[in-house]
Amino acid sequence: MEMTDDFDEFYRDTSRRLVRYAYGLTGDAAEAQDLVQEAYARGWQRWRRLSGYEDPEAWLRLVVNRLSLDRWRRIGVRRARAAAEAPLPPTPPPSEDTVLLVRAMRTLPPDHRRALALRYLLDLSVADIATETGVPEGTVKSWLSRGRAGLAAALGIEEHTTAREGVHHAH
Amino acid sequence: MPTDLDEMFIALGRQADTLPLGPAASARRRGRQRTRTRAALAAAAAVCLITGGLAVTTTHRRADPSPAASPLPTVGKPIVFGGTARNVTTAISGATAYAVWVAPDGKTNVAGADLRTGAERFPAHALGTFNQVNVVRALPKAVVVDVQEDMDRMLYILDPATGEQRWKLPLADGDDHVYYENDLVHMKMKTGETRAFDWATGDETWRQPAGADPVVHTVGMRMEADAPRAGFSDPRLIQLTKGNRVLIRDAATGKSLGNVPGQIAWGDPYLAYEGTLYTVVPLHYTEAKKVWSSYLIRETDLTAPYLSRSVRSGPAGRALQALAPCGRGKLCVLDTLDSANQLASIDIGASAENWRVDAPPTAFSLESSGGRVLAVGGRSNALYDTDGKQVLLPEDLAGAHVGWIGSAAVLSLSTSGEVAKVLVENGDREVIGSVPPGTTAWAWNNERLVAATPTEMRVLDLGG
Repeated sequence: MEMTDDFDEFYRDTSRRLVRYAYGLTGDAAEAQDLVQEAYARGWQRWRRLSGYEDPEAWLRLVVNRLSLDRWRRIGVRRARAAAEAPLPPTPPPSEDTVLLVRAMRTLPPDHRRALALRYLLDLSVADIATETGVPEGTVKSWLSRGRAGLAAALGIEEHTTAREGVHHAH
Repeated sequence: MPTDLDEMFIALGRQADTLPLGPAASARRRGRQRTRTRAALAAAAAVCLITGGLAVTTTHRRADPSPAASPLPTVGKPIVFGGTARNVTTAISGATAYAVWVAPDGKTNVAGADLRTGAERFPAHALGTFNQVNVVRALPKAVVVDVQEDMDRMLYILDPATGEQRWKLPLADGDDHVYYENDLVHMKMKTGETRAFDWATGDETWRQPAGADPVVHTVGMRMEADAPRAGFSDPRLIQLTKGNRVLIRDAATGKSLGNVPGQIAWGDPYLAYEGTLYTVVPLHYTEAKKVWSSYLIRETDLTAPYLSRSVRSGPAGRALQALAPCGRGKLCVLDTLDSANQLASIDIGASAENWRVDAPPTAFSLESSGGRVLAVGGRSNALYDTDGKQVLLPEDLAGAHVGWIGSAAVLSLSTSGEVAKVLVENGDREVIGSVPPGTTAWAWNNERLVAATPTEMRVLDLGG
């Protein structure tokens, strides 16, 4: 029971952030909800070990990231599960800006999308993102810069490079 | 960061915050279920195709039957697994059927059966201990078993005659691998390196290091005569780089045959077919006009002088989901707008749409044969004739799993276990039998259907 309580508390503390991340990666509400549930399901399978990690939330994000890229999973699992589980309450429709951003995010390479979601939806620092993704900070800055440029191009927005995150060459 | 993008991310975050989540208990329940039963990942892993003896299979959770149709006759005796598997996959290559199953403790086994007699081709033996089998590909010179263990993914290469492991290859996110007659080509995303391995020995036959402009995608060249899911017969390996160049290599040696500047969009469907590369520029938003453009299909001839041109744009706002050749000089596209799918046929030479029709809302891929197109989407499928007429409606195939059998018919397996053959010319449907209750994996060729339950595999006679 103690293990269950610990897991449930972890779930309450982290699930909202994980949904933000999943939604940022996929732009699809149902997919994001399912990815998050699947990640926690896998986390529960390994909770005895996972609870000892320094950053179990980062492990869950890794799972969400991998699942979101998994072509096989994306092509039907979610619908099969949705048919088997009780439906969740409906959500208000997204704003026009959100629809535009979601579509634009889908045009980006996965690395750029991931970096942007970690930075602007979860407020992770460049250093934290580098640690989580296992790449140099310069590469993260490049992903953020190129991702931002890609979004601007897709949305027809003029891009302004800031001193804080501007990088002017490919990684 | 620009204010408008900043505000858009805030809005995105707020929208995410409104998404309801189930309680922790439901996640725990799902976790327990994953351990006990087959993962839904395997349940939707692949589409069952049939052609000339080569087939990839799929595993499904299926409601259990008392079908009205008589059982299909069993050829020989079933191969018994010796327990109840939580994940089963089957495949066919040539005259052999393969079953790979995962026992409750994760121990993964492989067995082979002679398709002609049903006799055991080789005794079952263990491959290792894994969470699940993602997919099995049976080729003339190798059987490839794609497995998952926690976060790690591995390809196990087996001898098709004995099922014995020859070698294995770890895979990571973003890696591509391409199957040829004699070897497997693997592009490692993390390093940008491309290597080829001999099927029989696993020896590296060639290696290309990452260049200054790293490769991001690697595909083979499909030819009209190639069987779906078989290895590529054309010797060209096509690689797309981050700098939007197309590299053409000899797949047997890795040597460069040419390189082409191209307008490539990473992550969008693309196709190398009959000497031409089809790429897709994704839709984008024009602020001034407040409209989304659509996708643009471009073609590049992969023989010198590498002429390139735009073929066709989709209707405004539609995003491309799948692209497939569907007849000489034709491409079929599946595109979507707000979950409303449509299927269209494009005359490549004229850059014109031949026709456009509604497609099942859950369709995600296209499989064509003889110019006809099957729009496949889990349990929602539809079959279209060469002029876009629906031969089989989604309702006709509701809940069924379908695939081509030859070029003139489709085989469907309903949720009740009923097997039917449908002639595409006129939609005539013939129920030919049923599979055993509890069947969760199958593969077929023109004469045989291999059906596996959690406890056994049977070779069934289709009477073809």
